[in-house]
Amino acid sequence: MKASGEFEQQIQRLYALLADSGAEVKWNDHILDPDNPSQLRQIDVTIRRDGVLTLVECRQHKSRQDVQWIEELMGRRISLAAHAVIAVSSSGFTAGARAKASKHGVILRDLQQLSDREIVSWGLRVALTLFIYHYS
Amino acid sequence: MQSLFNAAAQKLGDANLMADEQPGRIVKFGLGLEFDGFRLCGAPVLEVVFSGKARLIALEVAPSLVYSYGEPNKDFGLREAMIQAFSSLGKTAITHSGSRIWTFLDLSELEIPPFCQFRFWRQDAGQEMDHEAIEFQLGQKLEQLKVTGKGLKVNLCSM
Repeated sequence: MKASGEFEQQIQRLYALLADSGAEVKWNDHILDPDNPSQLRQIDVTIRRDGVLTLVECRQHKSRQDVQWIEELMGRRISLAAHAVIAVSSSGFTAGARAKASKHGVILRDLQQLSDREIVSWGLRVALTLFIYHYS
Repeated sequence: MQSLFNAAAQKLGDANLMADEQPGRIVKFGLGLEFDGFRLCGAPVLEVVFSGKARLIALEVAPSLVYSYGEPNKDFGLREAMIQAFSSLGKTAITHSGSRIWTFLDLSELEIPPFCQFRFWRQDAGQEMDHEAIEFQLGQKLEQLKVTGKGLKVNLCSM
């Protein structure tokens, strides 16, 4: 992924939030391909938490991301035995990409619309928070 | 006394004063309650004025263990069935099967400080999840639970 300007700032925000969340986060990680141990696979961000591996791939393009990228990510999740893969695009996704991702469990996110809370919850599976009122 | 706190919580909820779920936020409230036939030390109590401050406190519950079930030769990340156990909150657990989840919330051992009321909980996930069912375990510390909302199967258990 080539990052620049505002996109880079957004990626840095993403990384900082994840790093503060207590997860083991690696930027520009390289994972051994179990099917071909001599090859390392580059991943933009990996999140390891409670034994769960989540991959985050980011793209900055002018045009919307299509089904081909989604199929690449499906294969990457299977071959690297990741629990989840999150595709982050600065330009959105085509309808075909959305349909394919929905069917095969690839999580799609628009970088501009990502909230801090959602980023922190990545890799957590489900975070549970109780709320109580304290009277005084 | 309990109904006073319930009334205050109801008012805070109705007025949407805590809607943005900002922990630490302090909201002032005041309400008057009229009673019919309530006596205290032999004297009739006609009205109670109750005012104060309410603060929203968030208690994050960390999952201590994550189990996954599937074929032994299948990698952890590829197993569909998974259980997040929140052992710091009794037997609380969230069971996953793909994007579907079942939640068991064990509130029987929840330690609630004085003048505090459990109001709601939030579940955050990195993706959209389908809630299949929610089950609560209550206990002596939390004897009543009011459930609002539609479209979910809710089981209430008590000890």
